[in-house]
Amino acid sequence: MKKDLLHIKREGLATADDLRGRLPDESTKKEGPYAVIECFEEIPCNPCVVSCRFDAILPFEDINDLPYVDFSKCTGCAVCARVCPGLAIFIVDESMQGEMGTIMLPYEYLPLPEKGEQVMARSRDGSELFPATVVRVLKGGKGKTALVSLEVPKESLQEVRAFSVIEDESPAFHSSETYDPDYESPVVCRCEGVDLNEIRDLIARGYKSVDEIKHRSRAGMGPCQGRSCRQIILNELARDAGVSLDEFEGGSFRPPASPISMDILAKGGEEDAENS
Amino acid sequence: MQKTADVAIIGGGISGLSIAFNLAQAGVKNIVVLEKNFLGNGATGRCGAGIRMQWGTELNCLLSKYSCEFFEQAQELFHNNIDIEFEQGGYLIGAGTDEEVEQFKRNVKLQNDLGIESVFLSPEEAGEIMPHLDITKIKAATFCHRDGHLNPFRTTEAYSEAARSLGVSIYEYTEVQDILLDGDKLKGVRTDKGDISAPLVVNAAGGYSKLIADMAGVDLPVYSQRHQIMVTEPVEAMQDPMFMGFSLNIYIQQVPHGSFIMGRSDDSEPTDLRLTSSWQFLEKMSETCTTLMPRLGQLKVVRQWAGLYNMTADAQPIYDEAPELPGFYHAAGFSGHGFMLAPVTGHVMSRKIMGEKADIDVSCLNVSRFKDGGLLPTESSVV
Repeated sequence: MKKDLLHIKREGLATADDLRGRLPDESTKKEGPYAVIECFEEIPCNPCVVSCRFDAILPFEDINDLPYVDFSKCTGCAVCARVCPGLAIFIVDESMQGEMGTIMLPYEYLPLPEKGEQVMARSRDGSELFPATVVRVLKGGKGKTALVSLEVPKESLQEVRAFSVIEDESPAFHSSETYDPDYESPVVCRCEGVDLNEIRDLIARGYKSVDEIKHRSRAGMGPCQGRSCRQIILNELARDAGVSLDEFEGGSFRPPASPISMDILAKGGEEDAENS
Repeated sequence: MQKTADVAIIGGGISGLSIAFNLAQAGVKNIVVLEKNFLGNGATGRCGAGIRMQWGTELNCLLSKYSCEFFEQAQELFHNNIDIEFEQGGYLIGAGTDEEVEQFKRNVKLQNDLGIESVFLSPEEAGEIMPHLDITKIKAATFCHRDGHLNPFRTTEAYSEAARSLGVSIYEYTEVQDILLDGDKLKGVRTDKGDISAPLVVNAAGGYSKLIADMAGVDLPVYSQRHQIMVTEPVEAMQDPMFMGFSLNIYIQQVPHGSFIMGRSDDSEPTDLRLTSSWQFLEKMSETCTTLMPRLGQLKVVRQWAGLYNMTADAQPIYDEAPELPGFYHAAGFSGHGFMLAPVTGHVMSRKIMGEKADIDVSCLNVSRFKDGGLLPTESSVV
């Protein structure tokens, strides 16, 4: 990986320096919509290049190359944004008169927001910026990511990179009230195949901690040791109790940190390496 | 929280819950169970959960036979629909020394005389039951098809639900901080949620039973030792019985889920109530396991944990009323077998508390035996 991009691996965020060369000049910006590609993953991935009908993404010499846009050719058609598996392409339009422009964002959650809905615009690091109006929704499916267009002040077009729905202020969630056995429940623990209904059911029955739910459902007992389900279960517990996540302990962490075969372990290692 | 109880049971593990269930079933009202964490968080939820009737002393055979028969009928006895996953794949016990071969012959004779259907096997016969066992490592084996293992979490829930439906009050996250005395008479217990006055208090605190006895100022000659377990990734069912060896120092079972769960003893394990995990265990356990069952070497270990054996000098439990403090009862010192003994623990302790005769005479399991030189013959069939 290029040395100047290494910090992204650690921090997960692109800086202004990283984004240099990824935006058109000021006059081109006024001509029409354009694609902003914030891809820093040097991995074998090229759907954006091959999907572009205008050859507006500079050809790759190597499949691990990073994509750069030729803004003289880009029409902002959004085909590349629909196929980018990393959700790293945004379509910006600041060609209209007035203070406002639009930004089209890839969105993988359901349900999709509706046109006219107010959502919370968020920055690259996920922090809240301001409420914004949804002006267009392109549904996903057949390998294409849904795109949602927000109306945003022009000066903020390069800040907004995500949004979240604004939920009604409602009292704490009570699992027993919404338990519906016919509802196709999302999987919480992929290792052990435990779904959200089962977790909510256990919480409704009085289980109060990650460890109790782990013992009863096996969620978190698989090879990954709860790397994804632990947080989801904590969220459910906190939501049910109507308190902050901080009030809950994360449950036991058990060694070894990742699975090791007994053949390897039996060969032995250092003495006195004790951990808790 | 309630202010009074007829019986206060300290410890929401399988022993305390079984005592509560048996007392309630016998008609005792106003029973409370006090658990400082959640139910089964101690040794109950950390144990291997094996159930076997193959023992070397008559008393242990009788105690475990009672328990095994209880678990066979548990669903009806509990009146609930909780599946405790009692898998009776048998216990295959391997002999590693010539002395053990002779001992096992005597054990099988004793067990058969008591109605336990165990058999003595050659290594080849053992290999037919467990094809992945390297039979050159054992000199003989015994097998009892009614032995097995169950799911400790579900068993805990089955007991607690049954006890609750009989009116038992179970307080989780409620820590006993003191035993209340009025002069030299028992008055009740102090918890972090308030005092409960109770004329009868049962110490079923497992690894922490000595701390509870100390609060009451009574002597309980037990100590707790860390024992560790590890579990592998799940694979297709390939081992029906629990395999165990005493000189071979292993117990290993494949649970219904497909994982192999195994443990061993180590005299150098700490006795200071710590529950940390050690790399030494992972290595020694893997070595022991792959020596006996080389094919399992490819399996990956996904998790290890530790629990406390509450030990006595003769590795047998203490079922008794404290001589110094009438009304204060011990159900402690299970020495690694508290889970499988839970049904009989509940039975004999409830009868003792009610002043009635139990189906099995356990008077020799008194607390005075350690002072009087009345130690029982030490059970050699332990890991």
